[in-house]
Amino acid sequence: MTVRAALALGRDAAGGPLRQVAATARKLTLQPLAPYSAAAIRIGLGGLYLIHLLRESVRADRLWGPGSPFTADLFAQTLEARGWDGPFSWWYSLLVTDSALVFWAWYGLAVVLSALLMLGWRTRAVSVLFWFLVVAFYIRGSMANSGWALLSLLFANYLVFVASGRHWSLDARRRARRAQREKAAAGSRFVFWGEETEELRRRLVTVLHNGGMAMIALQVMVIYGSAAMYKIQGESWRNGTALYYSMMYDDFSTFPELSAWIASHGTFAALMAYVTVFSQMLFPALVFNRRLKYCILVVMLTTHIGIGLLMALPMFSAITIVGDLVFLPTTFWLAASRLVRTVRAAPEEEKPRAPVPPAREAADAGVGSSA
Amino acid sequence: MAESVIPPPDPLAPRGTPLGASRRGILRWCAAFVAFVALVHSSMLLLYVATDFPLSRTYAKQVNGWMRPLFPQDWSIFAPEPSKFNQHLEVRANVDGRFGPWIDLTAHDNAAYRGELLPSIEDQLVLRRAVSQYRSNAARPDARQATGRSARYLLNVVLVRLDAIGEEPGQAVQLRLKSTRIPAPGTRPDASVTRPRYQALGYWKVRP
Repeated sequence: MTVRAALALGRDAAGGPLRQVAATARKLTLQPLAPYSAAAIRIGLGGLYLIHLLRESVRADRLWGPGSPFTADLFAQTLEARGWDGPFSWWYSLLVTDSALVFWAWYGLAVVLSALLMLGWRTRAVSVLFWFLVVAFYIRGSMANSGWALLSLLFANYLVFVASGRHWSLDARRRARRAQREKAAAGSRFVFWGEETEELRRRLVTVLHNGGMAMIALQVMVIYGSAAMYKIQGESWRNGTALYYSMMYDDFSTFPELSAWIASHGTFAALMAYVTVFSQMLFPALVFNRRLKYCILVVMLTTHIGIGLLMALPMFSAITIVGDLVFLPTTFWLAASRLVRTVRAAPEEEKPRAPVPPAREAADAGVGSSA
Repeated sequence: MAESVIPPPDPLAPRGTPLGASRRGILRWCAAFVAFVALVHSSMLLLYVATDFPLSRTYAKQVNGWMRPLFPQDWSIFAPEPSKFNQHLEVRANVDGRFGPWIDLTAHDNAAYRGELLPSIEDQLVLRRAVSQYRSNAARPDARQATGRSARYLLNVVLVRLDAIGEEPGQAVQLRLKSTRIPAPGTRPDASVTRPRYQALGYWKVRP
């Protein structure tokens, strides 16, 4: 072997990984990752926020409104103590008002925006406005924010960067119709700028989308990872009695009799405590495997439904399930929507007038059962 | 999953047509910027979560400035070492120099959401959070101002509750915490174990 050949071999060996990195980077500018998961998260977040606002509407005055025990005075002092009275304080204290009319106007706007986000109407603009209001609600309610409020804020942050309206949205339907019309009218397309600038814009949108999706995935892994880290520090999670005490704790029980029944079965409760800890600890690793991913997601789904029902935390359970959807691949969503279409088509043959669930609800099915 | 399913073409995705040199430059710089921000944010997120990590302590101020208030991460609330006590907030009102009976506000809250699949956070969270915030602030030796604020907030919450259940707050209210030990698993609950203990929280004048 000549020296030249050896050098060439070395260059190839070093160039291989580099070329792979370059190819991946190129792919990230060309291909939006998991667009169906993004749509499912958008539908889940918008829908859950709508449910939340409608459910709390009878209490809204005391939670965020003029009747709140967290008075405007206390709010201003808290903002100052935390050092948030800077240039954005008008935004943080958007809901602080003495006027019921102003408060309910914001509340009504939030209801409308949640519904529009769920439906995917002008998705990008709506997701920015939705995020703007979610932040205001979060900070106004900062004396009593549940895990649900925390997670909905985080996902609303990241959703701004994500192209979540590509599928299962009113936008997608409008685009499809327009494309059909244009095909009929033989290409009367109106382009604002040149073809090449349009391609650049699309690639930039794709880069932002991929960044946002990566952040959602990282955030979900951080939640499970740190929840597991906190748990293994606790004595009762190590000896398996944590679930017993959680069930006996009367601030968190929708059905005290059912909780007491579970608490009375010590071995089962201990086993479930271990399943909870280990599934949370292993989650960040297992979601990278194509097959084990489904196993861990099913375990998570089951434990979340259990928590939501028994410990009176339905909104928190539902939003964590929505967050988990980020790990489902496009093939899964396509197979699921095909299944829904088949199921929809079958009864129609027998009973033409049977009520038909819209395809959009396929994404929500997992959420709806615990919401 | 069915591998045979081919995704339909996305009409808004980049077509992959080659870009000119200037636009390729713009794309590269913007993509590098997005990747950089994502990297910074991920690092901040991990440092913020790992509070005891030495680097997190050194850069606590920068990390806090980046993460708060838009990206709070209080995950300890999801993984609590469950309490071995059931704690209820009780209140009695002083009306014209005479104390009324103790009212268990937590029991009122819990009764309100029992059997409810979609409970309101007002029944579930507001009172408990107000009490725990007040207690953790009161335990700190040098937090006069914070204690003042959390005390006023707790009092406001109690007054709203009294109003909601139609009780007169009078001129002053007294608060106490009732703690009942949860018997250890597998033991027979003993009267000496499950007898509630009381802790006085405070006595506040009610401003009209």
